Amino acid sequence: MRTTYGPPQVAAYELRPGERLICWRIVRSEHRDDPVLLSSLRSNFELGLGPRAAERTSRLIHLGVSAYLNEQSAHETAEKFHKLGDWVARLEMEHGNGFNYAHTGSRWHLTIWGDAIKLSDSVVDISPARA
Amino acid sequence: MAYYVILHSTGNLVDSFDREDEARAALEAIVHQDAGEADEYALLTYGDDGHPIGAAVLGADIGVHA
Repeated sequence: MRTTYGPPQVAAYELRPGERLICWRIVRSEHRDDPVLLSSLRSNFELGLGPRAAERTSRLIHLGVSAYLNEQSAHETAEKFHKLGDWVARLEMEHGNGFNYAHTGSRWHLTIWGDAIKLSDSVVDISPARA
Repeated sequence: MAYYVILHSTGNLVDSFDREDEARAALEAIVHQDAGEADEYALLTYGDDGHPIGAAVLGADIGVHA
């Protein structure tokens, strides 16, 4: 596992009071009441997938959900790998919900941790994926 | 500098690398282990600016010889 900055490690942060983390997640439904949307906000561990590659050495990665700090990067990623989903959700994550995040992978990529229902409650907009 | 990220179709990162050969080897290992799920994985390349470049390498495109 290579983190964006520094040695191989995952530095997880929590949101401070009053802090709001805005990020974008590729999802497979545009409907808030669709269980597919909730599934789109779950980690590979939650989805019952066995660990692969870095997930074997980092439980944090297996438990995490990918998101992007840059909206365009999310859309472009969806365009490159169509199976990811046809929609991009904007999340506004706030302090007090048990959310954590880390900078992992490429620039703008985040691994976030949180209850899927609370993540779903943090979705403020869903737009069609477009490059 | 480029970043090589292996994603599952769930949208979640499985691994990332700063060397393409290591990333391809990791993808190949995943596909070898999970041949039936090969098309659920892809290797994407990102530039320093955080935007993906080039075409994704799909797990299904990786030739695995047992």
